[in-house]
Amino acid sequence: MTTIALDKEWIETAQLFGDAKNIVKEALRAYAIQQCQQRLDEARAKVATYKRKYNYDYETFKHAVQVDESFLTTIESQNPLWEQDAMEWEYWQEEQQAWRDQLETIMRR
Amino acid sequence: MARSTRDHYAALTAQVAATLNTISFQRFEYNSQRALWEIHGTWGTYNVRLKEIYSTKGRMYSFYVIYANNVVVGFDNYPDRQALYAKHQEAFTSHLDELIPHKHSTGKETLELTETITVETFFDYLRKEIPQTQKEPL
Repeated sequence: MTTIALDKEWIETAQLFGDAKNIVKEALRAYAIQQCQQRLDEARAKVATYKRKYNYDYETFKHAVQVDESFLTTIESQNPLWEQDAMEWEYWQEEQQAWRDQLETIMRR
Repeated sequence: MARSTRDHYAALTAQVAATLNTISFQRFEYNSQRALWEIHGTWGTYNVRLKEIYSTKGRMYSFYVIYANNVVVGFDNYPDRQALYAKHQEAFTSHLDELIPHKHSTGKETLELTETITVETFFDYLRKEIPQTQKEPL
């Protein structure tokens, strides 16, 4: 257990709504859920942008550029800098999964 | 890790700003697990696009020189089929999770395997192989 000092006026504000300790705990939980949801939404939107651009989900796209020579040739001809998209697509995939996991963990508490 | 990552990319951004002629776009996003860094600028008459992703899987990079929307030269380590096959031949499907540093020639006509490239070594290559005074790709 870690102790965090709060200004007296915030304790008094929390007490307006009930037990200060519970109110602070609930407020922190609500804040964490909101922040996770915001990051999850951002990651989802980025992933969706790439999915629309390439017409595949990331796993399918990655596997195709790794094993299908004709698919890779087509992608190269359409967008010679596709690697920059693919790297970032993977980044947002990971972000999406990480924030989804984090949100689930918080919701279970 | 977040602070050291932030400091690392701040230093890298400063280095890029001091090397390229102009910076037209830059962004940096990071948290305790991942970082995304991207910067665009000009080198003489060329456009340069640098992007790095840092995650638990390692460091992915893509450093490209563009002229009139065509690739002049590009370094990246994304494991596409051509790079995987160049390194592992018929066994390439057993290495799909491996990052493969490689270089694309002009127009991405050919690919050759390389050592891992950093922004510093990329700039060394630029200074040596693509002088700013060069008006068009060789």
